[in-house]
Amino acid sequence: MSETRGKSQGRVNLDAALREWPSAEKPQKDWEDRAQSVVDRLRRGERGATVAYVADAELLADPLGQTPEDGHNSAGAGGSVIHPPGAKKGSGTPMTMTADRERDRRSLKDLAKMASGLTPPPPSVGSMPSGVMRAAEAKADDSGIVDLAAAAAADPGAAARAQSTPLASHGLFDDEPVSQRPPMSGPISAAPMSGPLSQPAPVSGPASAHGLPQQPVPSVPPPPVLTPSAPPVGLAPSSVASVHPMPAKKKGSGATIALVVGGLVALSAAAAGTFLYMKSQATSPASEPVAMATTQPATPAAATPDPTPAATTTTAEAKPVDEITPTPATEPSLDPNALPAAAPPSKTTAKNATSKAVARASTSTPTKAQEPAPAPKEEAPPKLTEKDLVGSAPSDPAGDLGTAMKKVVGDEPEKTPAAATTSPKIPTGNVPQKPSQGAVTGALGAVLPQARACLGPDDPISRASVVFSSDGTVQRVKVSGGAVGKPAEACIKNALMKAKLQPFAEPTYTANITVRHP
Amino acid sequence: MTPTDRDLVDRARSGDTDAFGELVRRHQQRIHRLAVHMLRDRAEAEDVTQETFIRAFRALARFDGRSEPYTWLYRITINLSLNRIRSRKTARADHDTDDPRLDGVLVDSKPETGDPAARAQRQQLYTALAAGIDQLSETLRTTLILVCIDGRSHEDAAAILGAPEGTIAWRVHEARRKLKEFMQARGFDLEGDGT
Repeated sequence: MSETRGKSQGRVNLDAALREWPSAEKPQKDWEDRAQSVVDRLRRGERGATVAYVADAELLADPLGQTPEDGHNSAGAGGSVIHPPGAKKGSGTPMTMTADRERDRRSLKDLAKMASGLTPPPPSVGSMPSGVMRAAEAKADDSGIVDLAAAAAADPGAAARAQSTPLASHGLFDDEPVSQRPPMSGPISAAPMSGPLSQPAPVSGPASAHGLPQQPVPSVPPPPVLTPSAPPVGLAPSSVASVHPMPAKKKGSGATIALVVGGLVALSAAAAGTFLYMKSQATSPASEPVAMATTQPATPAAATPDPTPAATTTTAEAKPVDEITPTPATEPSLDPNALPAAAPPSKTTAKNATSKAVARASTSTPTKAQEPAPAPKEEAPPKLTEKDLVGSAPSDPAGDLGTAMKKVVGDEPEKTPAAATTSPKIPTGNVPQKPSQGAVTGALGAVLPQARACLGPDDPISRASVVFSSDGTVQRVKVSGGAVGKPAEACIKNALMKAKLQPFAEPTYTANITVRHP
Repeated sequence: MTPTDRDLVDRARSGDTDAFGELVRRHQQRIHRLAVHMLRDRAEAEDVTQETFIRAFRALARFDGRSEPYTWLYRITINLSLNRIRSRKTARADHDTDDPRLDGVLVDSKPETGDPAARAQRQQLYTALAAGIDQLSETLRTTLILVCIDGRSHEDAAAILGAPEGTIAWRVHEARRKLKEFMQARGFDLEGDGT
């Protein structure tokens, strides 16, 4: 204790005071008795009073691994375990990233999965003609910059040949015997630019490419999205044929290349078409009925029924919308005449009605779909906006839509009105299956500052599970972590309940969020 | 030849409770002191101390031997203490007059001097230190107790808490800085910068 206060100035030495913190001394017999008590308990087979609520894994886990409180940048350096207060601890296996980083990585993984499923494959850049034929010894680190001066120096006669040949680009090979010309696999359209540069390093290619039968370029089916500016197809064969008297190899390779390029373009077009088709499949079946019910209810052309029968619509992707939209002709319980009469009294928008119907459809089974459903009027939400009223304004007699339906789908046996109300629902087009990650992030980010403000500087972080209902509002919020049981819990809940998303198809969507003091 | 802690652990693994009893005798005072500073409650500290050894004995099979046995015991103590703190319904009052951490100060058997004024100053100092430590967060407080009060090295503290040594150093620095500000705000003149 002599160091606790400075000798000369009477100042407090903080380190010494802490280090020499006095502890109450007990007789040695007391310690011995306590130790013996432990041994006795062990011999009696006691397992400890905390076994019931502190598992071994939690007991031996890292108590205070790196937490968000640690302000220095050492995350992952030592492989610390992240156990936010209140969070369930796992085993002592170290983690090498913070909990937030792990969450972000999962999120990115999800985004990548979503992107791979929704976007068409990118075009194969590497197979496209570059315009410049690279030498065989060109390496990966080659910058690709063409030194025209060096090329001219390497071939002094190039300028003269360029003047004497119709196409200077193809005159490169004129001074060589045809039999000695190296096989070329590059795109023929690239030859004009690459000729002088590729002379020092003849381009080698697979011999099999030259064995392909020549096919006229026009035989290549033009892809639907081919633009007139696509150069390789038309240019290469004509130029080759006009310049070279015996361009068998070059011509053959050109045709092959043209075929390859054409094929690639066709594949790209097919991929784009597939993507557009898939996209239209996901959106058009829903948008058509909505448009019919709101803007053009009597237009027969718009009454395109969804061919999907109701008996198979068990997933959220095929959600019936019986209140507003006509049902497929193949559905036995269809009654088109009853539909227009059902829609106007609902006084609701297609958006609202379809979202509700979608929510119901996602949880209903085909058997349930055939049961009598409550009238749409009863299901209509009481709140209506001006926009809603405009969108749902009934403008045509009730029988027009049914007539139009009959014209389109043909005669159909009359069905009972009750069956019509339970007919299969067509998926809505303007309601996504589930909210996008960005939308969720934005919605939660808007209310997160309020939630963070509920925590004090020393409060441990908390986690909240926000459950959105299909109409985009927050259904419930579950808070876990340090704020549980404290006033901050209600504060966080109130803040997060204000989050709002666009309506989506799934019944609920749950997002987890970490709340810490700002 | 005195058996090492590892020897005692090895024997205890085979069911030798006497060997484990020896381990208890060696470390129970430190464990108890740590529990007192963590929990600030005598009864709870007693319970946690005994529970530490009971649970440690039952979990001996999971002791991988990569660290010293006492660091393993420290970890169990801290986990049990934190669990108990978090399960408390209300936070403990900062100015608890019956603070077990001050037992050694109030009944110091070896006073520095016979001067009552010096003893009073000393009590004020540790009372203020205890209050300052209570102001720290759970993480900073636990790290400060381990390193500055119990004298564990950064390496040991890192092994006990499961955090990198750099993090331990940062926590100690931060805890001392805050504690210094707290003490200076109460009129204590600290030697050096205190950080």
